[in-house]
Amino acid sequence: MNKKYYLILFLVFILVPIYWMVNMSFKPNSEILNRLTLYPHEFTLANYKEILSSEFWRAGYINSILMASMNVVFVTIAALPAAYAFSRWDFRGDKHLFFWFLTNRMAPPAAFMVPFFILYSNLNLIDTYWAVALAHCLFNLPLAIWILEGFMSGIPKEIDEMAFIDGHSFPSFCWNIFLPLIKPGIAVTAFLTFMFSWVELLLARTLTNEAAQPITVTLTRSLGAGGWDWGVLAAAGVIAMIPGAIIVYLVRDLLATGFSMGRV
Amino acid sequence: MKQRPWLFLLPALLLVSISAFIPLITVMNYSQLTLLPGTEPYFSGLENFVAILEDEAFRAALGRQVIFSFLVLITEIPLGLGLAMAMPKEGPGVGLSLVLLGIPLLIPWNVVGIIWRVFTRSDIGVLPAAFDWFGYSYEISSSTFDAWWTVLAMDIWHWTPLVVLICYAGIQAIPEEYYMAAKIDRASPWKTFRYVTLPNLRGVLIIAVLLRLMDSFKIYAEPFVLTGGGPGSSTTFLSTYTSRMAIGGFQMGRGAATSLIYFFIVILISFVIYIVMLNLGQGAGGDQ
Amino acid sequence: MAEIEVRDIRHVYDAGTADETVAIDDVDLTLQDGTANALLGPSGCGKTTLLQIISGLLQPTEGQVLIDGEDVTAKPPAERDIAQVFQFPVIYDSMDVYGNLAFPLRNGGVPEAEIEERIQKIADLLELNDILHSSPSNLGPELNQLVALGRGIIRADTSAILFDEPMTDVEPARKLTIRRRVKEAQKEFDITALYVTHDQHEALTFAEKVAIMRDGRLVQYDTGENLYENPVNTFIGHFIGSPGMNLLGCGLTKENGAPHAQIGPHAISVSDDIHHAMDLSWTDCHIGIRPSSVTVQVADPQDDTHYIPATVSQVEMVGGYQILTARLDDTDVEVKARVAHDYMIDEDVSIWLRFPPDTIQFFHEEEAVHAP
Repeated sequence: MNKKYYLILFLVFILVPIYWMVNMSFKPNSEILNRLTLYPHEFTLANYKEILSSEFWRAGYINSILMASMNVVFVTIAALPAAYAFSRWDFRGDKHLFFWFLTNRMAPPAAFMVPFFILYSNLNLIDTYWAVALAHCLFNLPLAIWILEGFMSGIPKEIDEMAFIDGHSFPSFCWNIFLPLIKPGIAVTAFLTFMFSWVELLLARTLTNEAAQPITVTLTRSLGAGGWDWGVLAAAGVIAMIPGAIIVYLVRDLLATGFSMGRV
Repeated sequence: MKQRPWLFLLPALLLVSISAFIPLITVMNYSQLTLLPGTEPYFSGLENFVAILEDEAFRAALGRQVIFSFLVLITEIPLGLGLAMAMPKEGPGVGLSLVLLGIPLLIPWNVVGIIWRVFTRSDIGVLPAAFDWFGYSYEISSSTFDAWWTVLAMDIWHWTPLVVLICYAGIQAIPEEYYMAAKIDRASPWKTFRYVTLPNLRGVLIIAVLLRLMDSFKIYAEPFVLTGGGPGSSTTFLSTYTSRMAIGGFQMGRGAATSLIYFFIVILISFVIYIVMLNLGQGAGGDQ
Repeated sequence: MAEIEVRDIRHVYDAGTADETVAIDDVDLTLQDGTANALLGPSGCGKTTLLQIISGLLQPTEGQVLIDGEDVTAKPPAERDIAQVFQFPVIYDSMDVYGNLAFPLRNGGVPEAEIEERIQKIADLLELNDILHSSPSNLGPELNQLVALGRGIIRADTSAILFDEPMTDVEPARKLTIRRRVKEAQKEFDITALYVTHDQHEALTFAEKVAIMRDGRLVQYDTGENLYENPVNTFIGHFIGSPGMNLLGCGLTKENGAPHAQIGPHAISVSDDIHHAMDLSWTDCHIGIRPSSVTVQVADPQDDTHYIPATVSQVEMVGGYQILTARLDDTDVEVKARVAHDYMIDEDVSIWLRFPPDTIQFFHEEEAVHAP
C-alpha cells in the first residue's frame, strides 16, 4: 500500500506548482503582490479577458496545433518505413546509420537556429507552417524511428512470411496486418512527437514572424512587450497549458494500451 | 533486392537532410570563418575552436552542464523507475495517473519556467513563504545553492514523468509469471527487483537514460525564464552559453564552433553510456 | 511429499462488477501423497485458476486448501513449499543455470555446500551437467523448461509440484524426452504432482489419476481406464478417447416387458443391469459406445437381430487404424467404428453394425445410468 502513497505524493508534487499558477491567474495584481493567499480572495477574470480579447492568441493556438500535427504526419510517414527496414533487414552499415539517426536528436537547437534561418529563407519558407514542421523533424524523427523499431522488433518476422505465403502483396500486408499490430506503438510515437513539437520554443521562434507564430512564441513575445504583469502571465500560462491537458485526457486509453503493450 | 532497405530509408534520409544535414554543413562551414558585421568573412581555420576551448566561461558552463546532467540522471531515473513500479497495472487509476503525469510534458517549456518562477519568487511565490515558515530563508535570486536545487527540482518535476511512462511500458511487458515464480522461489522484494524487474528493463532503461542525457544537455528555456542563468552565471548551462554565442554575440563563426564542440561532447558521452549500458549485466549471457 | 486437498473451492473474478465471472465452483479434490495427477479440460475451464489457488498465487473466494491436513489457505506461496512450472520457461536471465537452480535455496538461507550437493543431484537426474555454467538465453525453450523444473524440485522440502501446460513451447519431437525426465524426477523424489493440460494424451501418459474440469466444475477424478470405460456423463465420454465415444440420441420403448433403447426403427439391447434402472417416462437419453467396441460386418448376418444395417459415409486413416463413419439406415444417426488398417471397405457400402450390450453406456439427461 505504501507504494501508492509514493505515487500520490509525486502527483501532488506535480500539481502544487500548477495550482499556484492557476490560483494566481484569478487574482488581481494588488492581491498577488500584497498578500499570500492560498485561493483568490478577490476573484477576477480580468487577466483572461485581456488575453482572449487579442487576435494573436487565437491564431497562436491554431498555428501550434497545425504545425505539431504536420510534424506528426511527416515524422510518421518517414519513420514507419525506416523503422521497418531497421527491424527486418540486415544491410551494410545499418548499425552506424541507426546511431547516426540518433545523434540528430542530440543536436542542440541553438546550434541550428542560424543555419535553419538561412536555409528556409532560401527556400522561401520562413514564417510558414512548413518551416517549423520540417525543422522539428530534427529531434522527432530519430525518436520516432527508435521507438517504432522497438515495437516492430517485438513482432515476429514469421508474421511477415506467413502473410506473403498467404498471398498478400506488400501494401496489403502493411495495411491489413502490420499496421493494426503496431497501432499502439504508432499512438505512443505520435503522442511523443506531438508533445515535443508542441512545446519547442527556440526553433519555432527563429523560423516564424507573425503569420505562423505558435502559441509558445506568442507567449514569450507578449511577455516581452507587456513587462511582468504577473496576473496576465499566469493566465497566459494556464491557457498555454490547457490544450496539452485536453490531449492527454483524450488519448489516455490509447496511451494506456500503447504503454502497456510495453515496447518503447 | 539489395537496394530495398535504402528505398525504405529514403523518406527519412530526405527529411534528415533538410532538417539536419544541410544545416550541419552550414555550421561546419561557419565554424571556420570569421564573420564580423560589416566586413567580408575570411577563413580562419581552427581559430574559433581554440578561442572557445580557452574561454573560461565555456569551461565553467561545460562543468556545470556535466554536473547538472549527472544529477538529473541519478535522481530522475531511480525516481521514475520507482514511480513506474508504484503505478497501478489496471483499473481507473491508470488513466488518471497517465493524464496527471502527461501534463508537465505537454506544457510549453517557457511556461514551465513561468510556473516555477511564480512559484518560487520571493515576493509572490508560495515556496519561499513556506520555507520561511520553517525558518529557512529561501533566496533564489541571490543564493547559488537555492537557484541550483530549484532548477534541478524543476527538471525533476518536468521530466521524471517521461521516465515513468517509458519504464511503465517496460514493466507492463514483463510477463506476470516471472513475478509468480519469484514468489514461489521465496525471493525477497529486493531480489525480485534485482533478478526480475531490472534485467527485463535493461533495453527500456537505456532509452530513458540516453533520452534524459541528450535532453538535459539541451535545457535552455526553463532556466532562462526561471533564473536568467543567475545568480551571476551559476545556472548558465552549455546550451544557454551556446545560444548566447550563436545569436546574442556578434561572432557567428564562434557560435557555430561552440555548437560543434557541444555536439561532439554530447555524442561522445551518449555513445559511451550506450556501450556501457549495452554490456552491463551482459556478463552472464546475451540480450533478452 | 504431501497430500494436497482442496475443499469446496469457489473463485470469482471481478466480483461485484459487470465483468463478474465464476471461474471455479464447488470443487473438491484430494491428491494423494506421491502420486502423479493431471488436470484436464478445454481452454477456459478454470484449470489454471485452480492451480494458482493451490500454489497460493490466488486466494480463493471461498473454500480451503489443505496440505497434509493443515489449512494453508491464508499462507503465501513461499510458505507452502509448492513448486510451479509455467507455460513458458520462466528463467532468471541474468544468472547462469547454476544460479537459477541455486536461487530458491539461497533465498531460503541454505548453506552453499549443501546447495552444491543438491544441484549436483538434480543435474544428474535431469541431465543438465554440461550446461550448468551456460547462460539460459542460449539454450532454447526445452532446456530452459528443464531448468525451471529443476528449480521447482531442488528444495528438499518441496511437497508438491504443479505444471501449467509446460509443453506449450516445446517442439513435438522433444516432448517425449522432456516428459520422460519430468516423470523420472517425480518418481525419484516421490513428489505429489499435478499436471495441467488440455491434451488428453499428455495427461493420460503422465498421470495415474486424471481430474477433468468443465466450466469451473470438477466432472470426474479417476484413473485413465475408468475415465475411458465408465465416464460419469456424456461430456467425459466424448472428451476422452480419440475419436470420442459415440453418443446416440435414443427413445425408450417397452419390449418383452423391459424398457429398451430405440433409435429410429432399431431397438438396441443394453446390459441387464441398466435395463432394470431405466424408466419409460425418461426423455433426453443417449446410448454411448466406444468406436473400438462397435463390431462391423460386411456380410448380411441374415436373421441375427443384434445387427443394425448402416451405410458407410466416410473412411479415415487415424493412427494405426481406420475410423469409418456410417449412418444407420432409416435414421440420420451417425456412428464411428474402428477397424484394422487393412480392413477392405469403401464409402457408400452397406454394412451391418453390432453394439455388444456389455460395452454400452446409457446416459439420462447427460448423466451415466448405473445399475440400481
